[in-house]
Amino acid sequence: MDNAAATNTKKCPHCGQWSAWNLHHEDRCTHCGRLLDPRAYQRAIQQDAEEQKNEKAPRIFIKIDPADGTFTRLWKYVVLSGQVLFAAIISFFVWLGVALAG
Amino acid sequence: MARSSISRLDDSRVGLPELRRPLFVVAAVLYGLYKVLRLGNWATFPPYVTSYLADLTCLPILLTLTLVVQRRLTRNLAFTFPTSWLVAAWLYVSVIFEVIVPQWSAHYISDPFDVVAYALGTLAFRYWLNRPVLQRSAAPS
Repeated sequence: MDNAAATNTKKCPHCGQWSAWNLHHEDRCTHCGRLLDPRAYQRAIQQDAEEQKNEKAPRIFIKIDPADGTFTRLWKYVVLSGQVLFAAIISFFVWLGVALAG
Repeated sequence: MARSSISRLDDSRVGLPELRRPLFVVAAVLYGLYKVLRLGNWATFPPYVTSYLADLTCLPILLTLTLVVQRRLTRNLAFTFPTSWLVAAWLYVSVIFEVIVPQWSAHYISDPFDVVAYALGTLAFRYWLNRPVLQRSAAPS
């Protein structure tokens, strides 16, 4: 039986305060904002890197890393919004061009 | 003393200065004339014009229209496309028009030199059209 599943709080390794924990490697301390389980996060990052190595298609949109600080995540969301908007507008005009040209 | 400033779009009096850039006007007029003359069978063109004029003018027109819409939606006249976005647009258009669309329509023929024409159009946009709109306003120094 998994005892950890029944526990939904974890002591932050950085500030020592207890925080709500969803057993997810991206969960953060509600007091200091840092990762509750940095080792699990590192493992996830390594796994992600290995998966990326095996990926053939290049990454098109900017990746928002959960370990990024608040400010970094904010500007990455701004860039991502711009990229999605750019893709949508250019797709519309390409579709329009193809439709008009037959 | 007057100074120029790049500012956020705060009213609709700015108009569409992107569409008055000489390169965009030349590209749009050339492509428009070519299409009209060709549709009406009023002129014959040498093969290099029929093969590459549309491809050469495609990305300057497409990217300028995209820039106009993106700037108005984000209300930022100083916005310019990063070079990586332009490369992505060039790849996207090349794949759409040279790989995907020719499989669906006999009207489109795949030609590797079209990709070169798209690249030249993208470079032209990068150097002459991808510039912020300058709003000149008199302000005390």
